[in-house]
Amino acid sequence: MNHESEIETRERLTRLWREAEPSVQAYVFAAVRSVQDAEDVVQQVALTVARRFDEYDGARPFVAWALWLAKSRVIDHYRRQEREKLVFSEALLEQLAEALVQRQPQRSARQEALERCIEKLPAKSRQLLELRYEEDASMERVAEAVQSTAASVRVLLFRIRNLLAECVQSQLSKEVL
Amino acid sequence: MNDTERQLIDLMLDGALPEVECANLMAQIEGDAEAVAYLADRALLHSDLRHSLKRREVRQWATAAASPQTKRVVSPASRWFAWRPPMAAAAVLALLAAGWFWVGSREVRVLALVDASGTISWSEDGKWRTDLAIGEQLKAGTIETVGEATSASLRFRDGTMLNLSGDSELSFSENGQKLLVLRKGSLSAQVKPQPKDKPMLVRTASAEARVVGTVFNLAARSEDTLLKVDEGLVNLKRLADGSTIDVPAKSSAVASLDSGLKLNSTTTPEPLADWRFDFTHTMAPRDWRGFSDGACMMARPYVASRKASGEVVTHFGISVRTAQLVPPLSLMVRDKSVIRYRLKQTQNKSLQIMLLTSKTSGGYGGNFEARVDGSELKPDADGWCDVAVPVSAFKPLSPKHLSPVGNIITSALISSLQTDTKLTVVRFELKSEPGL
Repeated sequence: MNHESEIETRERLTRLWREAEPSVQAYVFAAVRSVQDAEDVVQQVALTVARRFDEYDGARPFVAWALWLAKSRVIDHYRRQEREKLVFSEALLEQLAEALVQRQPQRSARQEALERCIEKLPAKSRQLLELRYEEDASMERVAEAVQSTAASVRVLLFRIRNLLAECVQSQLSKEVL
Repeated sequence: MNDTERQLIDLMLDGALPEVECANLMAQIEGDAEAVAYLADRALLHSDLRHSLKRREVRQWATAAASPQTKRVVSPASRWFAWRPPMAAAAVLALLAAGWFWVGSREVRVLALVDASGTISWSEDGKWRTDLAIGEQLKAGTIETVGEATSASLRFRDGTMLNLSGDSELSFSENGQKLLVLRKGSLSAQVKPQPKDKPMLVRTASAEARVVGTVFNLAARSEDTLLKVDEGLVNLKRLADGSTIDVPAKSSAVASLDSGLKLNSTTTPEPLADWRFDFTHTMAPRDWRGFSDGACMMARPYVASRKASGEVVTHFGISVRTAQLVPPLSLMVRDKSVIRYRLKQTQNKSLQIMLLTSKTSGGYGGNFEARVDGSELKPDADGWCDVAVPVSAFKPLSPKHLSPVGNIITSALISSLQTDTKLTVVRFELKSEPGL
């Protein structure tokens, strides 16, 4: 492969991976409990995608192919953890991948809408999200920081996410109109 | 689905649901299209929130750095965790693109090219240049050495030296921290002490090395990474499973893509002055140049250099890369050393023999070349002949490294240059012959 076509291939791979990465992350973070393990699995998926990119059939959605590779890496992870039973069965991993592929066309619009929705949240809600996601804090640590209980934080976070999901949906509906 | 089930899914995505309950919950939702759809939506929301909030954190840090009076107080540990995903993503993209991702350092001259032989290319903003001059200062980018006997020595501003040899490709950047991606080939480095919290990072497709100051060699091979440490200590991480190992001086380790293999370090053997490799009963390692069938080693074409027009010059050769044996073997060149081959060609054409060397302390030792005229070859009735070349016949390719004596051979290459003479070798030998 000459330099120019190699550069073109790399640029194509980078662009496709950037688009698919959030869905791959969602998939892996759902199936792998520890944040650090999930990050490592995502990294392994990225490396596999890069190594096997010449096998990718451009006629298929890239995200479907990346999620197919991610499924194998998740199962490898379960095996390394010596799980007797998979937390996610192979069938469920496939169903989840299919659902994520269906949602891919709206990904960037959803992310932009979410940014706007976060801005609209009350300060206390944003603080809870920041503690939870910026610092990867456990429920207990978040509760300690806001002088509340873990149970209460769980409920609050559930409600905040529901509000955000509704807000994102509403923003997307307006865009369609 | 009821609200309790939805909450449980959220808890699971927060990592706050015990594993047994996770498994039970997932068994319940399997095949339930509505529940799977909710799980997908929620998993995306969690992922987007993580991504979005970490990005906000990074932006706030950038703002805080620009305005000291607004600086936030965050513990070093939490700061690391906050940066971890962007850093991981950047590293992954680096490997995917190997174009450049450390945008902030693009305009800064990072490295100086201090020595070179053979064809070297450097990417500048996506365009490749092959007209590099010794002493030229390079911005963050990608440098490629083309050809088995090509090498490039590079120096960071703090005096850290890098040497690329053979067919290698290295992306580099320094923006408070030295970040390297070795996409292929071999890199040796003499690293000046680095800040402990900002070690030099070298990534390959299968491993990451963290270096705070040491002398080492790293070879990115097709399915693994071979690290040989001469001085100091290098922390090697296998990307396949995240396992790490500290590799001390005079030791080596292999990080394979196969995480089933144990990651451990072994002591590097003392240098040998006499060594022989018999291709008639030993299969050559995969990363040696040539084709081995267990009975002989046949020459393979390789890119020896590239002309300014982009046209490649192909040679036909066989390499013995002792540095890529496991553990790496060190062959010491002495003043009475002789390089011997038993070989065969279909025509008595001239041969080129190259020695690629490193210093005993681990740095780059120079490349050396000897020519054997076709008329000097005396094949027997079956076409086989023995070639013996004393070390004194090897000429340096760079005035900075005048003699291979006292150096370690990392690779020995024999080629019939541009003619395919079906060069076949059955034996390679390094021998110290006091009678010379």
